[in-house]
Amino acid sequence: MDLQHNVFWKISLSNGESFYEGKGKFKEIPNSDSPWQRLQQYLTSNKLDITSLGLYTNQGQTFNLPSLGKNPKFRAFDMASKPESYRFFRVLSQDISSGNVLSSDCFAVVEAVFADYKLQLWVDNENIKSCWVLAVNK
Amino acid sequence: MATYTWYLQGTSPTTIEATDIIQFAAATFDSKITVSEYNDSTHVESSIGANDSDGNSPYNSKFISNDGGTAGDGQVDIGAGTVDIDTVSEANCPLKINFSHASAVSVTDHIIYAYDGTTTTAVPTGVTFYIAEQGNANWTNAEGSAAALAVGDSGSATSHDFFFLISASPESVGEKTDFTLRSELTYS
Repeated sequence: MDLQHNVFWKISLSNGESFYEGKGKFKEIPNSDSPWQRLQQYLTSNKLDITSLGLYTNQGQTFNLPSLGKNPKFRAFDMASKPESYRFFRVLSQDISSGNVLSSDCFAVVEAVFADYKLQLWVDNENIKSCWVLAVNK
Repeated sequence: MATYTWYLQGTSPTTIEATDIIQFAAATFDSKITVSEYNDSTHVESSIGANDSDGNSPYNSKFISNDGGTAGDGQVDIGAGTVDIDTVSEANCPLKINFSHASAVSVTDHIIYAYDGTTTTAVPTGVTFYIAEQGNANWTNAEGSAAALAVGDSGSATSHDFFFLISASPESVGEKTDFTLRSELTYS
């Protein structure tokens, strides 16, 4: 099973920079570290923090986690709990079924870590208009 | 780009294609396992019932016990008598899963289990299923997602191989169709 990624991370940093997986500094480079791993190295070497993390598609969809931004559009955004950290990963499943179908699912996931729980936003790699949100106990 | 490929290992590996199934059998392809006994052979069967692994001498792992071996180890027969499962090499494990990615990623939170093919929390119907990752001391009765085998993490690389012993036993007479093997993993 070959899988082409259709959902990517987008990020803003404490120095004001913004980056997009698959573009510019963080495009995918075969046989190099993944864009997310290279981002972690960039954060460490430049002593930067993530201030917002979301997902985007090349068809124009964007999905955003609660941010640490200092210019909220609404009061509710300012009053909401602030994440302590962020994480991105992809989840892949594959089935071998006695019904003769080897099915597969892949989701891109961004995670905001709060004091007592983690908020995860899952977007289906094949059905990019679909999004699920999970609250997971730490 | 990511690639996820399942193989039934043997003298040569057989790739398990999108429409194939893993067939647990008695001594030969399509032979029936007696109720409450375990597989004496494992095969790759195509969607039209052909023996795709014929000629590759596919390996088999037969569940013997979960704690009857040395210091409580699980036991398996891979064709030469009963041994502790943690003595089986990667090369002799029947099931190999390869996950490849264009750039280097880490693989974590990898689980594998059997379910009924409809609801991931449900156990397979009429089948007892055991699995062990290569090097495990005991089998896992991995039926339903809550009972999944937790697979070891794999550090940053462009290719990740995972090796498993697998065994199944019918709990009643008849072909078992509500029986799906599922793997889930996280990468970044």
